[in-house]
Amino acid sequence: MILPEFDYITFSSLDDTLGFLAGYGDESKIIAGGTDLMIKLGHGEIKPHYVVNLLDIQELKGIQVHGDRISIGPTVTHTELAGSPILRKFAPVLSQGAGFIGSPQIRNQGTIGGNIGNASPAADTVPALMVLNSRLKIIKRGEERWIPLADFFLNPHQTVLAGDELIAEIEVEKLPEHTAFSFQRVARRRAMDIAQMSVAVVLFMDEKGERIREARIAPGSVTPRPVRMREAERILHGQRASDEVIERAAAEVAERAIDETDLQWLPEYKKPALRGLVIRAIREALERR
Amino acid sequence: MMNRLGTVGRSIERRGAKEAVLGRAVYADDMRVDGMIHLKVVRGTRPHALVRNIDTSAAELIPGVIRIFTARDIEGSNRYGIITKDQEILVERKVRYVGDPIALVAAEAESTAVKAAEAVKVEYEDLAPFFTIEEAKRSGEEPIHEGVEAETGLGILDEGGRIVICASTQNPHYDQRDVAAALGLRPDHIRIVQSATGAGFGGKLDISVQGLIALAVQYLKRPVKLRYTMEETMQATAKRHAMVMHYKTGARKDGRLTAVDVRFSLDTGAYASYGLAVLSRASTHAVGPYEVPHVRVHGEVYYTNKIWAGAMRGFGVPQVSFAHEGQMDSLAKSLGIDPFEIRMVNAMRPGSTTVTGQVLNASVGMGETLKGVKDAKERREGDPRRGHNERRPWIKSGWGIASFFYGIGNTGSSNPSTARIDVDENGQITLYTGAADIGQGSDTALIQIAAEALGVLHTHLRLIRGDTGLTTDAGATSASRQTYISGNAVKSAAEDLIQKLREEASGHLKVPLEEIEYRRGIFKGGGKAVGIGELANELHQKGHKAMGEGRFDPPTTTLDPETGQGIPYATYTFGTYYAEVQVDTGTGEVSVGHVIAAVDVGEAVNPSNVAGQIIGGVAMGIGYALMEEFEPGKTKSLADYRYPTSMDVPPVEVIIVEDPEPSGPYGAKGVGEPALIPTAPAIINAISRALDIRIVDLPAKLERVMETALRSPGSGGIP
Amino acid sequence: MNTIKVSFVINGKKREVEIRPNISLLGLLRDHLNLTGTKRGCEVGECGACTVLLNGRPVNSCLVLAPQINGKTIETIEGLGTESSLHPLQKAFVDKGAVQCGFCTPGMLMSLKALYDRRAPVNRDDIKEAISGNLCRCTGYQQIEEAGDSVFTKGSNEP
Repeated sequence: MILPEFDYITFSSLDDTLGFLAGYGDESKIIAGGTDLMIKLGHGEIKPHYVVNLLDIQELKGIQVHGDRISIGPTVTHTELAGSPILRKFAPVLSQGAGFIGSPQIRNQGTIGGNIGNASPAADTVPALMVLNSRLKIIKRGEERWIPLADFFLNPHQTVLAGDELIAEIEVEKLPEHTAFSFQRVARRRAMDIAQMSVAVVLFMDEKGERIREARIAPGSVTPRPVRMREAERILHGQRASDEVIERAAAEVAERAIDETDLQWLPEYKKPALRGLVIRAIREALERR
Repeated sequence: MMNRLGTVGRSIERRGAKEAVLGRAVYADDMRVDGMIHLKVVRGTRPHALVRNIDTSAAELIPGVIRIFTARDIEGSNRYGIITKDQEILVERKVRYVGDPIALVAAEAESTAVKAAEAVKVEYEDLAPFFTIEEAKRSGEEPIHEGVEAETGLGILDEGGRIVICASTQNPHYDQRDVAAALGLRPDHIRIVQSATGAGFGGKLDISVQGLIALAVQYLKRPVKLRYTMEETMQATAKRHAMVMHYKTGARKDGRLTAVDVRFSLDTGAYASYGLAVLSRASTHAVGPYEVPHVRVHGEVYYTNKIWAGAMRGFGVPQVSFAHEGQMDSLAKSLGIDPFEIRMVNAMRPGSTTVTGQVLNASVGMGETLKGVKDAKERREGDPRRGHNERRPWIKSGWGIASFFYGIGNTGSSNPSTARIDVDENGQITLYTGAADIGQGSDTALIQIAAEALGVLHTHLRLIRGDTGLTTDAGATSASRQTYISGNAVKSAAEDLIQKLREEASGHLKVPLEEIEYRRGIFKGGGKAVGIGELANELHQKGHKAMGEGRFDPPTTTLDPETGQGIPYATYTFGTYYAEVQVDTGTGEVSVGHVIAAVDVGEAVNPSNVAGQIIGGVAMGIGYALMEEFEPGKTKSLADYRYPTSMDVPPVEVIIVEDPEPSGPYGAKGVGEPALIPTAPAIINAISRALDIRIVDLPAKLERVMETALRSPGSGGIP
Repeated sequence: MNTIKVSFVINGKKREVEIRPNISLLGLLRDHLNLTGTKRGCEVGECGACTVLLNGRPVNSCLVLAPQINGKTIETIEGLGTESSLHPLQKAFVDKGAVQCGFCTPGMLMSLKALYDRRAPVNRDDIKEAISGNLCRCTGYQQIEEAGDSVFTKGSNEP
């Protein structure tokens, strides 16, 4: 692959990086794992003057628990997400979602910050982050702000991130251990494939484990921007998990995914398949309670 | 069965495996020469247009650009083609598909060549494109069969002024002839050496980089390299023929077939390539491995303005077997007969007559493969993991079988192979064969046959292959023909060598010729003995060679153009595959759980390699059945085109059936294409059984399965 | 365009190069260091033919920007074994018929080496998953998995 010419910039200090981006951010592209960027560079889709490396910056790594929240550095790889003892215990819907991404090679390189920043509607970490009420810390020189994850995305492959900004932290809710969850995904083959559709589900049950106290549902690949399916969640709230209730909620997700966007985005296949997938996800989550 | 053999029938180490695991196998892209020039092809962007002007002025100004070639620079015919010479090295007047080569850039660096290619401006006058078959056909575009290695070649000028090209190819001797004619060169001014080739499956039979490299070397007289990107491979190399097929099958209540009427059309794309041969083979195989008294087959080939279709593993038979095996299952269902039973009843056997009027006398293992699969299936029946999934009633399980046969060698035409075995003055034995090993294992098989015929250790044999400067023509690595045809040529060369040395031994031992016995490298007579090495040395002292030559052309006849009667192949491989699937009617996902693959190969020269081909064919068939779809213009890279990963391929039980072919080397036939053929039909039959609705289009991808599942009785998705 | 000094360890040897940054690790290996054992396949991270180990983990070298390997360790097929001393995985590949055209072989071996180096028990599913990012069009994967199986069930990779 032929890459265009650029200057390669790397700092180990976050401040130095932000300082550089403040001046040259609009002519720069940042690189972490590079699995998306390298393809764009190779195809001549982008021709930045500068490519700024983030992998030398310590502050952007690591997964920590802070009270009832978990903070994840943007350059944490998908392999690290999938294998993290913290996430597997307290946010397994995310570690499971990350485990589906690409191939072992892609997971070893690709990062959660890159997955979010690339803003593909098929990003596999995003549905999980949505049901974990995720927030992002966006920083630039001298400033930081927090935004809900949903507000980060404008359109497919378009985010609110400006040229002089970085995602500094991804924060998610720390779930009680053994919370019922599921991440389901349909692809055309069983590895190394983009999701045709996916769904992340988290269920909080009552003490007896009979009724659903609270449900959280977020699909992937079927809407241009990530959303939580609030109507479907309301159908489940306070209910026993009967087949009928589950099917109604699933049908609602499929309907809403159509409403959220026009039919061109959702081929005829996706509506019944999404319904089937959501049923599968809710059922699997219930088996885990 | 055969007497115990020394080398044939043993799973000896594959030739070239050690180099491969060490990372030392040299593929064309691994070759570097100082001062190497990089080539890049400028390709047309219109499906059907006249080329009015090619403006290379801006491109030529880029520093590092050496020259930009167009058709004007070609001195020969500028025509090539495996059957019909309708393709041009560089187009003169007209582009016929998006990707037709228009100009060739030569530059000092690869990046320069790419930049310059983008700067070439072409003016077109559009003509109406023909996609008619595209609209008419029901199945989608057909899959690609490419290895992971893209077409690549390196060309140099040797000291003698000969153009030498090392390329990834399946037929070096054909390349030499066609490239020479197209460029107006004498064939002996071009030498083609097959580099280690990263698979081909038929895609590397057509000329790709060879002609372009030769053109550049001819003019620039410096080393050049051309490598297709994966995107170019997708866009500009042969695909499988898309076919629309109509079958009418008649049978009696007991399941015996009475008549089959087949009409089909092939889309051969912009150029003929193997189109006519695929038509021919599809016709002779249209009804499958069954006895049918009345058969009518009508096939047509159409040109369209899309990438051309060529030789792709199976050559028309994967397509027709999908049809005839679907028919057999439909019949079985209507008549209430078990799928094994209906095939058994109609199966070819020794003494059967084919649709072309050929009587099959021997090596018809069809019944054995059916029985082998049936027995293996019954052994699985006791497995507690199988059976209806109680907790997930939306998962439907099904099993299916499919049988096939495949004629070895080119259809109804002469396609000989030649070989030489030489012993040098030091006693080193070398096998020379033009047969290209593209990973299917011909190197190993031919060495084993030579070792067996000579009675020497295979480790003592050196191999020189696929080099038009050193080897003689063995025909293409296609039609699953190398083991049978080149194998016979090699065996014949060994026998010729022994005969010549026997004469020498007679003189040396001073014993009459009739009294000379040969065994394991030693000639004995009159109580004395002399070895191959010593005899060879003597011959060399006298200024002679110690060399045996062999040739084999399968005994076939052409097919009558009206009636299609004749003997198209000397022998056939038979097989039956079984597949289990689980269909998720909620999402359309199909999971293949287990496969049993039984193939009658006559004699497995190297059982491990035969098994490897079969399992590889099953994996390829899973892709063909479920996920592979090529849409010109849309399918651009491996991200769009899906091939099975390790997670998609279930355990495969391999059953090698050996019903020896009397005319084959030690009874061997062929397996390369047979390995693939029945996989997709078996899987589709399994899905059709699971959903109780027949699927008639490939691939059975998510959308198609879902749509079928929604129509399926008693299912309708989630209960 | 600036040039970048990159220091790294490759197959146990320290190296430093000064390169223009617009090159992938694959390009660095094949074109600068003349290590052509790692293969160029699809160049978009979809086939795994270019797999090498970066700090012990398999990556698609076609997607790694070369300057980013500064301070890191690379292992390629050339460092796996020698003709007289094959790595157990290499020997198993030869013995089990896991090589056909051989183009995917270096990548396959490196993916399995990473598994091997974990020095932990490995089952068939682990093997399948370890090579799920390496496409092979010839073998259908089974003999490759059996080669892996034969090495790992011996426990020869465990301490």
